[in-house]
Amino acid sequence: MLARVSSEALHGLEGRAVEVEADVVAAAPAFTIVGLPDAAVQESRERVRAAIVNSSYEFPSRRITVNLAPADLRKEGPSFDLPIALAFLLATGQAKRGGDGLAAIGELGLDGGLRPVSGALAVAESVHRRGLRGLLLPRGNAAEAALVSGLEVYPVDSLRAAVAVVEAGGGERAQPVAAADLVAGNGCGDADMADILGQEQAKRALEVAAAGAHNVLMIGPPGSGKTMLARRLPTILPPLAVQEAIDVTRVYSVAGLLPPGVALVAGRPFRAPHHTISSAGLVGGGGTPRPGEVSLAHLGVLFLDEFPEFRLAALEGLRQPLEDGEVTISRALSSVTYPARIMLVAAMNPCPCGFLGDREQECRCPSHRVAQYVAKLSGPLIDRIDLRIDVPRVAARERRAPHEGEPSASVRERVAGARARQVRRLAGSGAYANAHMSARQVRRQCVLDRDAVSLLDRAYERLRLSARGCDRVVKVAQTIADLEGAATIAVAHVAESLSYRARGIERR
Amino acid sequence: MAGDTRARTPTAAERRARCLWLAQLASYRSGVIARLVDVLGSIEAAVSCAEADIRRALTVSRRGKLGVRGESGGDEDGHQPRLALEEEVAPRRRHENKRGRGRDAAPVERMTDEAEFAALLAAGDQAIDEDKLSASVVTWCDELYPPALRGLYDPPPALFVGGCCAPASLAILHERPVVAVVGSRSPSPYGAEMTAALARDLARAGAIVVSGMALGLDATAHAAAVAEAEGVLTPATVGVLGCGVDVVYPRSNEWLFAAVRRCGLLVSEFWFGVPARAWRFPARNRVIAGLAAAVVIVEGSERSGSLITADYALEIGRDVFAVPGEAGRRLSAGPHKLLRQGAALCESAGDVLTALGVGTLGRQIGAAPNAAAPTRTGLLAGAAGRVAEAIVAELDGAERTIDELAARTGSPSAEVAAVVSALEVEGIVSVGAGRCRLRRGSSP
Repeated sequence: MLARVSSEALHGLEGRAVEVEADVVAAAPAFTIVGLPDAAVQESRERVRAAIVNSSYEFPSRRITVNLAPADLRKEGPSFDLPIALAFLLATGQAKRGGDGLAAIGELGLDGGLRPVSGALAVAESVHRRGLRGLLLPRGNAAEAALVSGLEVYPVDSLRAAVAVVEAGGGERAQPVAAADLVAGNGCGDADMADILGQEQAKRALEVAAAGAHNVLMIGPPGSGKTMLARRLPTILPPLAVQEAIDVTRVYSVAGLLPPGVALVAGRPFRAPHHTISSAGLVGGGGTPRPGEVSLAHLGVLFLDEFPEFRLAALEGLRQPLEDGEVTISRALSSVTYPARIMLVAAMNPCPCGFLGDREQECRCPSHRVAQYVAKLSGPLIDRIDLRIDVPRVAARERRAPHEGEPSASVRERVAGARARQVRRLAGSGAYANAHMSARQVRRQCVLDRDAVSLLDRAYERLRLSARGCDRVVKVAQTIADLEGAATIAVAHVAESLSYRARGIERR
Repeated sequence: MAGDTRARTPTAAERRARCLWLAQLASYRSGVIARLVDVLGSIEAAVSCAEADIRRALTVSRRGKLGVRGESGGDEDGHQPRLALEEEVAPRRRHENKRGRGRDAAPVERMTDEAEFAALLAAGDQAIDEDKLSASVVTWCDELYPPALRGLYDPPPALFVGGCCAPASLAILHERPVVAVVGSRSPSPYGAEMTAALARDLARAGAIVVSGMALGLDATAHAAAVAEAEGVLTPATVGVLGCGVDVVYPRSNEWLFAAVRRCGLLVSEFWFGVPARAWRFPARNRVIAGLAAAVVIVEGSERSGSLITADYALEIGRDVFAVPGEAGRRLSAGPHKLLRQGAALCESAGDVLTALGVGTLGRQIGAAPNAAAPTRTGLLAGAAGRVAEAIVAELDGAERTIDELAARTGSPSAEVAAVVSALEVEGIVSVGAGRCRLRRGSSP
């Protein structure tokens, strides 16, 4: 007898329709799975057999063939356990189909219990697009799937419960979740800019960076607060829009990083990979492509501490995502695209020991080591970093100062206002923030008043700016003007922007 | 043949050839000249004595060799500086270890020098084709030989000269005041700024700035003097090398070598192509001290190579100046030690020039930062102009971060950052490692 159950395979961040067919015939006992299954899918035979027996169903001595169609799509992971088991039970007549239009995913335990799988949100969206009515899935995945409005989500705990839903053609449904309700807060926990004592200039620079989505490089001795500052950058970014939050959640879900029972990643992501990370870990990849840190930081902040210590190959891989806002990973059979619209925050010491230029502690690095360290900064990646800030250590008397810094919420308001102005000005150009303006757009869209032009010209001469450096100064000045709500870029904006330019840190 | 030489007074050509031979020998073993002076009495004697006497003087005892000299310690020149060796040699050895040449790379390199030395000693002084060299060499017997150098206990027998105006322009060392400015290879911004201002003002007043072409303050001093002399035909700076005059060391200073060749002189006592080795740097320091009428030490640790230059200078009676630094810092230790021992205080080029009895040639030197000027750009005109004035006042004599300036002037950080940038464009303030400071002598 033949039975068919709908399921989904993950391809990048999308679900692809898969039909699970089971055929049971009276022949020499065997259990085979065909249709380009990978190792985890092959192993599902053992899990399915044990789960069926332990759920008090019968596993007959027949020839059982399971086909995952279409046969040319690679199937990965354990999420086919549940549809295979259901197809088997339907094929052997141990279960009766109560209604049509249900898909199923889930990993089975040997006891017949169900475990959460990754990518449930992408699967649910795909199931809905296919026009199916509902989705059976492990309870741990129900919250994220319930984000898809109009889809019936049936959370189940065990194979028996799943059979009950199939036979009844419905059952206990998960409450639909409105994403809009979840994105209300900024989702960044307790962290707040007000926590940071002193470092007013660095905080201001981060505000400018946040307002224009500029990438930032912070240079300062150990313990000056670079990491603390970076961690608070998401708190001054405008809150995620509903669709943005869903996009972020999809990446986390596919990466298997969404905690069970959590519906939505509501806050802007902050990722801080260690500097030993491989290229595949940073930009994504692997035999079975997985999103890398740069995609996990989508719409949030990617923080690279000890920037010059990162592998060159890994950093080079960041160029495409920084340029295009997405990563494409190509394999022989297919290619996968992950989103990666990030703000890059890099941090480094001024020299290997960290104390070059520090007032209290002497730097003991030989000058060629400093030169080597700094030389790692050159290259195309550094061209994508608009702001550089020195973060000196805060003097003791300032650390004791009782005054509180400005809370993140009020900074966030200014940032949101500046972003809104940019979106209006850049509408239709493909860019969504000042950092993404091309050199041409800078020339067309940024209007400098006369004093600003003369300061810029003088700076070009006296400070020996490069042409590209000049563009960067104008871009950042535009963001500062946007923060103020000014129509044209005034001299004060250019001057402040100049203070964030790249200065040589090598000594000669 | 040796008998012939002894029998008659050598000709001028023979004397020159002898000087070149001695220069070759001295290029491959440390202390050769000092040894000859020990035995023969003076370099003049070495130039006119028999070749065999020189051979005997150099082979009877090897006490003139590096290392042995350090141990004996009691020689006239027994202050062979251990620390400078360490400083110069340590990174090099590490570098070579990486390439798998092992820990004993240094002895190998000394062996090569030694083999070269032995070959030259055996060949005798007839082998040198002096005509070919005459364009770039000044020997002990020439009139162009800097008279100040003759004051050294063991003056170099020949000086090799590089640069566009060589070697006739060595005459300038007879005419103009010569000041050595030396210091740390990894200076603080303060040290770099003081050095640049000193060298610039000295060059402006017509003095020649001598230094060692090393990284750090040496390079700063040369570069500042070159910048001042750009377009003037006479050289403003003399770089003394610890390698052949055609060798660029350290490589990263290639830009400086090009600049000094254009606007100054490169001088070395070592033969063409001789590589930089640890023992040659103290020897170079001796020449720096010898050439200069006064030596200014800007920054350096207590074990800095600059102190060797100061020691040589004291030994031959040159004026030693030290630029004071912040108390308690590692880089201040060197100059402060000298000050404690009685070196003269140097705050500006004027101190040195006055001591040398040189006027300032009618030009204002070391002018105080001009705080009244910032009216050029729109930003520094209006209300921000008052912030600018306050900032300049705050920076007088201190380095401050933007945040400190903001706290002291009561203006927001963003505004202070903007004003500081404008001041930076005007050349009144410089910013590094997050700290702002006034530029010295920033008069336009």
